[in-house]
Amino acid sequence: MTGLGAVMASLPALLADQSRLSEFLGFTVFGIVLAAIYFIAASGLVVTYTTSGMFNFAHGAVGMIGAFTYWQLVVSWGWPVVPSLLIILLVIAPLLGVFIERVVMRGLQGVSEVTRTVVSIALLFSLIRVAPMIWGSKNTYKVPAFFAGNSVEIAGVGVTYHQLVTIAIAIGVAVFLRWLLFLTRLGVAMRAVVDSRPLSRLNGARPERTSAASWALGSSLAALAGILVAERIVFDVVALTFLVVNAYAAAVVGRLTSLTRTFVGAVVLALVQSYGQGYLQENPAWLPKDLDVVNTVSTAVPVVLLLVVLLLIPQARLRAAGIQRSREAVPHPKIRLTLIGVGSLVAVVALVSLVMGGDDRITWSKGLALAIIMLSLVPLTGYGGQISLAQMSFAGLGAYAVATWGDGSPVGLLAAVVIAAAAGVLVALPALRLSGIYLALATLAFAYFVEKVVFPQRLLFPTATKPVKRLNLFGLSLDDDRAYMVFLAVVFGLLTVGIVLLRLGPFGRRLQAMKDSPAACATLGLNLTRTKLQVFVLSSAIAGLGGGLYAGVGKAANTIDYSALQNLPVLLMAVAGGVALCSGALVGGLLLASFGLGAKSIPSIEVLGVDSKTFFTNLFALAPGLIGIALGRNPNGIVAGMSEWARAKYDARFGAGADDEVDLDRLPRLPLEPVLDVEHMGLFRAFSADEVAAIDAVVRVDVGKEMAHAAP
Amino acid sequence: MPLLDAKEVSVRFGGHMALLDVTMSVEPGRITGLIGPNGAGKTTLFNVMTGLQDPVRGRVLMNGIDVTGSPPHERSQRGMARTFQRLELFGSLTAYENLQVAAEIKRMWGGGTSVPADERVESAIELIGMRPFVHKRADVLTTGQARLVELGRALVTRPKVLLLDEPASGLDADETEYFGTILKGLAKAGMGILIVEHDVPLVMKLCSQIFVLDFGQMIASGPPAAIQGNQRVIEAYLGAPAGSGA
Amino acid sequence: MRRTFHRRRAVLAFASLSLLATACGTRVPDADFATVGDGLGGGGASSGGGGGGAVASGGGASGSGVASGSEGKFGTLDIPCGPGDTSSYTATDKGVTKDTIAITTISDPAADGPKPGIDQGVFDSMEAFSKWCNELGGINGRKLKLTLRDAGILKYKEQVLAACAEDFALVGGMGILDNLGAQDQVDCGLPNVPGVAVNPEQTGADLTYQSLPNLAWRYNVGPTDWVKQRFPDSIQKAAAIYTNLSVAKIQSDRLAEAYTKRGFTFVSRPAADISEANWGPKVSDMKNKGVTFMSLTSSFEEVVPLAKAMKAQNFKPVVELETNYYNDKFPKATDGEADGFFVRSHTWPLEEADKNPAAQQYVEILTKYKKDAVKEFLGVQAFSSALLWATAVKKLGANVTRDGLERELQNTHYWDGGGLQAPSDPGARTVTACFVIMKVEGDHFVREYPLPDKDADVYNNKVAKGMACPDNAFVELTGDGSGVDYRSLGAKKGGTPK
Repeated sequence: MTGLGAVMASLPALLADQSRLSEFLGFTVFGIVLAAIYFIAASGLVVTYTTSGMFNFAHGAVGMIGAFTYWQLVVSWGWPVVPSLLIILLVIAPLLGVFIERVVMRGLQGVSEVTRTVVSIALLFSLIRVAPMIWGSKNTYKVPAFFAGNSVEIAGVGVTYHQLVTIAIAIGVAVFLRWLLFLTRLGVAMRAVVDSRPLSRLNGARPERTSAASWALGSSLAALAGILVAERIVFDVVALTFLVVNAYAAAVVGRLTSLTRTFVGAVVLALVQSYGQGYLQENPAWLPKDLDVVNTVSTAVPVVLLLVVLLLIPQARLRAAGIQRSREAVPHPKIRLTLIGVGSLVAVVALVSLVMGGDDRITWSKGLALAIIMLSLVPLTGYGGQISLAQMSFAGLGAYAVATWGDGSPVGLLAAVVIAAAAGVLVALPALRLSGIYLALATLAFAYFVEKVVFPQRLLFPTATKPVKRLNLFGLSLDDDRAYMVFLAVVFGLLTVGIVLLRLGPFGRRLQAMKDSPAACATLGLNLTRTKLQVFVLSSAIAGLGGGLYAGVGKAANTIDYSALQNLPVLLMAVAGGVALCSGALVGGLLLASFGLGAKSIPSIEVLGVDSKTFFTNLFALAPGLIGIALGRNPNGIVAGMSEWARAKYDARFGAGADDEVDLDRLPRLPLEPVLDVEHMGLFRAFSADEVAAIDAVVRVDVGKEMAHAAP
Repeated sequence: MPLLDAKEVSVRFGGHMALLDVTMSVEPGRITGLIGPNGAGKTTLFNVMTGLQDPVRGRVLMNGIDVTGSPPHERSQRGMARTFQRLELFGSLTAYENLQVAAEIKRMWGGGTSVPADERVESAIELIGMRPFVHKRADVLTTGQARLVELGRALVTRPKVLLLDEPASGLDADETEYFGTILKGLAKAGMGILIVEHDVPLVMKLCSQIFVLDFGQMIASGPPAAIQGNQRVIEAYLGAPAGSGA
Repeated sequence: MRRTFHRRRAVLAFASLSLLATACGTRVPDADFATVGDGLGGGGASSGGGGGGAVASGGGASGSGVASGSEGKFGTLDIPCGPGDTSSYTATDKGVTKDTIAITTISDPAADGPKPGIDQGVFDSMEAFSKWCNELGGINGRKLKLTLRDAGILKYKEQVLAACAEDFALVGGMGILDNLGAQDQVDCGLPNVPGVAVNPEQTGADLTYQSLPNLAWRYNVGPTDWVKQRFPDSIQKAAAIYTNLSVAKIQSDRLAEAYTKRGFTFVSRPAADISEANWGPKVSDMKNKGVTFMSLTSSFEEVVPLAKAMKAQNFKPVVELETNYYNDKFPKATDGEADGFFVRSHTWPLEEADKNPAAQQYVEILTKYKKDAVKEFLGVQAFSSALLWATAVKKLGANVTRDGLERELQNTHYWDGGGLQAPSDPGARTVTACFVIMKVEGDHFVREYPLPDKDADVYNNKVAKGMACPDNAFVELTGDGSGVDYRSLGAKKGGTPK
């Protein structure tokens, strides 16, 4: 926004000065080119959201696959450009989309928004890990620009033909989508499916087919964006995948449903970014030398804009949606069992730490610290159903606090808690009006902000790593790795007990109530925002504490550990472990830290031309993604899955016990889907031509506006 | 002084008016009914009165105080409670806990008394007769039981005005009768009750004042007898006689 | 003597890896940070002399002297590996048995790390070294037991601790975040002869000896002076761009301070996003300001989109880049947009390996023992360090101890890896001042300075023939205002990091 401000301020001078004016026009041209890319990327997101109800975090990854496939066809195999494009956009990408829909998304009926979000993050992970297996790091990747990169001068700046083609394609996409989604039966059906799948089925639609079509279309758009942008950024997996994050702001302006507004959003975003990059260079003289606001913010314009746009969205309407019967169960913890579990954990850790090798101690200590960070998600996400993609960023702030003010005393950890909680308030106050995916995006934007604007400040981190002194507890030094490991287990245990007590008490009940029916809570007099704020701040405080402890493991606070993208595996593994369970956090944390160990001891043997060590290394790298995708099967996570399995075995062996108390968690749930599915009855009748004509007549009426109000 | 007033409330959804200049009121000590065919806008009106929907025009007053812009939790704190057409129980909590949460919330915003939460819950349980299933998880209750729990939950907050959205839906004849008895008792105690219902005979039996909505507009209001004979009401429900061009 | 900037390179390495942020891993086109002086640069010999992927063009290089593989010699160095009678040997120290010496190499290419594939060349080189040395008989008969430990950047400490438990020494490794484990290494008494030491905590650490040492508070301005001399009009309006990461900014500040001290005036110091997609405005702005000299501090991949934008805008300043850009993947990733960009190098150009027997032999060894090896500078650096270590161990005979090793390394005051690198003084940890300027031409590099004919007097110097080795080639860096005293950061025995 400051870029725009600078522009506004200097407009009079600009218009007077010819060269300044031409410079301004030049930046505008760059902005328009960038806007085209952002629009194409965002449109795919919007299409997928509008037609599947899901914000596809893996969108950029599909784009990345598209770009690499384009390289494969055009550069590696030398096929001509246009046929390759057609094959990718009309065959390969849609097939990938259908595959994703069928394998991953199908199983997600009846799960909560948290699980859906996490599954798409898991898909993102999997694609990122799979791509390098196919396209290894030994090659140099580049793709030729269209028309050999020749350029033409517009408004005093050089614009390549490739960029002009991109603009034309963006406009074409806009027109095409408008036509498809509003003026064709398929498009309307695609939009209907998301509103009510069973209902649309009863009305003769085939939700499975339109779902598949939606994902095919979304994938195609993603691949298109990936291919078009490939020649202007670093051609590697991460760069191609996460460029789409810059376009999120555009999609959010469109409220994830309106293509017109997305278009506008893309233009505004790109222009502001261009002006910012062009004009913002010098920090004001009164700023301390080590505080660089201008340069850091100019690289973070898309996320700053995302935050601004999110703040401007009107408060989400509370909706009465009936009992939310999702497949996630929040088990009822028992305090006695918890104490036993915690005690055992500390005992086991104490024993094991004595026999472990020094390197393993560090690995598993990091796992315990990660588990503490993941504990922060239990009240927030597990009990409260809110998504946060910023826990590691809060952890990073905590790590910074311990490094700066720690010096061995508990003050450091206290500072970590306070600073993280304060940051939590900052994020929560504006963001908590938002619900579901918007909150997730707000926290992600915050995470990026911290990574790009806060961490690079030399005022805070003169070098990228800050040394950390471990706590000196009442004269007892925790410098020894074994002692520290036990200390971590103790902290984890104390926090677990605290969280369980919370859960069993009034606050925990309120959180559950809020998750089950926010509308009912509001009509009972509960100020939802205040409650959400409380749990968010609690959660960020725990994450900050965890971060301070994590830094203590390696005795170093390293900003890379807490970068924006690091938030994703933390959420992923916390949910995979079981986000409503403290034991789930433990499992998630330990797994996340130890995946790399998996292939360490496997010997390198050649089997069928594949090296075994490499194979297992890749498998373990892929594991978090695959586990996350499997959440569709059991959204309650690994721990719950295991205990269900164990209980089933126990019952099979000993018969379901005659409990005095009926175990409330084991009562049968009401079925989620209609008992007899129309499709299972084999009923199907195609519409006759007259009926179709009648529907078309109806469809052309302002159905669009009717549907629009269903936006979040 | 009516406990609750809606004055010329209008609501627009996309291209059409869901409510147009609707005016009605709820008096203390009486059961007021709101009926109308499907899609007439009854739930929308409810949502406007409870704060889940903003009107484009019109006002909502509680005890004469304009609460039109107030969020739901503020209205609740002024003494309004409601139940929902599609049950909005806290599914993962037990029936007891559903009431307990309500009582704890009430304590949080003061409510002005020192009655402990447990006592409130107990008295609601007794009043409603929930004892047999009170420790069951809410999402395994039968519809009848669930409706009672919702009512109990609303009562825990000691509302002055109680809005019930299709409370008899899914109940059998005995349950409906039982429900009606409770409501009559509450009205006698001074509570103002507004009930939306499809079960027209029930409404005729319980309510002393009835409002009729059709296509977003108030087409009739008055005591049951007046409504029963009202031509417009009959047409709204049964359609116009053939040839009248309705 | 080649001057290297491990610190700088490391910092750049950092930049790249940060780009990729953590666990979301990504494959990065191999080895970006070559630099760190020495040896055969440009992994994978792009075209130019020596041909194709392997510098080795079979039989000896004609005309430049020693044919490859002279008896018992690696270039000018006596090969430290050879047979011996181990019957009287005992286990003389940790990691040493009668017949074996256990060593570890640490690097970062883990598939689940932030930058999968990075610095794979280090592992490949060390694997080849170990096999080659063992085939020759080991060191005085004791065979090498090499463990490759992959830190995946973030887990350096864990690998050091694992090595502490089992190994005699760390050899030939490179940890981008070696500061995380430097103190642990010193605390457990583990000697370290890394291919490259990256952070100040490691470069200044006890028990650490590099084949090409570096210093964080000095900057080699030989290339800077060359630019000034060749393009005197360009230095008045200079631009130094950096990627928005603290490591890149620190490094860019060092560059700016050094160049300013040599007479450059910077009119533009913009920050760019990681994987910047919109270079247009910055390029246009520099053009409007009349910028005539430009440098970029980032990972080498980032310069390609910038070069494309510069071409589209017809913006052609003098461009001189730091050593990490001397990686043949850089020109291969362009289509001529970067033609004329200068890159400094402190290593012998791989394109001319046929003129350097040690380089030739290195490639032959690599080809023979690890044929799909990644060829990059770091691999060469690792190999040179391995030779340094092996030479010291050989002198210990049967009594191989850590103290002995340290003593020998401390007393090694001349090291050139048989010709793989310019001479340095590992014991005293001083750096060399030599450099070569390469130029991007199409999809490969060509030598720009010193040229054997046009710059004959510089070319034929006594210190390192074929490179420029000027006197007075350093500036001391005083301030980046960070208050961090690099000199005090090294991990010391009995101390904890500050």
